[in-house]
Amino acid sequence: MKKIIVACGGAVATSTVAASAIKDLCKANQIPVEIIQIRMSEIESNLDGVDLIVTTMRIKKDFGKPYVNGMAFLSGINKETTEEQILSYLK
Amino acid sequence: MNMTNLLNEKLICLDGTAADSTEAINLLGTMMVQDGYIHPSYIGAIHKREINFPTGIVLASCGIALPHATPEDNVFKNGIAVLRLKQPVQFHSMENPDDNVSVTLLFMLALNGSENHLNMLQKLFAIFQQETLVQCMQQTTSAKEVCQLMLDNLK
Repeated sequence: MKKIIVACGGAVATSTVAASAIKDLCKANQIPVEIIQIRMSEIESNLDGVDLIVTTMRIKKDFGKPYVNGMAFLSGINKETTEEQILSYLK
Repeated sequence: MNMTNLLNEKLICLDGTAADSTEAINLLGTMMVQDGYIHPSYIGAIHKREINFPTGIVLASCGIALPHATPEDNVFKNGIAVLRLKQPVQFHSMENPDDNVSVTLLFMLALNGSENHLNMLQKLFAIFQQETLVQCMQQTTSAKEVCQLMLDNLK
């Protein structure tokens, strides 16, 4: 089971859009995942066992975990590249 | 969610002019206040949220913004107001607040109830990812068409 943090700045709204896209992506690639949806400010205290961090807001801080910018799930721009990037960290 | 009131032609302005993002948000807010969707205090809440969590997004064919706030008792009925500007205004980027986005299409969201809100947001982003739909909203002169296009895709 892979553990992914999906976070956005404001509330849970945009991260829900990204999280649902990632869920579908992993399902299609038969990768079991646990998705933790939190605010950006809560990432630090939820890093235990996390395989990947995806955010809809750019983060400047390095949490020592693989990171992918998930804005493509909102804008649709470069969505395939983002999907490939995510899969590469989970395989 | 009750969809019947979600959009109507009174909430759509296709030839707006605004000097900046503040004016654009006020234009949208005024439409929603006049049609009984929100209390004016919701507009203030949006301005405040926009400073901390800006909503500008770059799409393939244009920049959009989704000004909204967390509804308290200031949203009377769920609605989405649409504003198309003749000249773009600058919003800060949701992805990176240090960046600016030139915005010509704005969608003001006044949505109560978190579960419905999220579902609606997913469908909205599905619209934004379809270039043909976004282009249609950029070009059409018919508020009715925008209304119908959105309602069809938000079902």
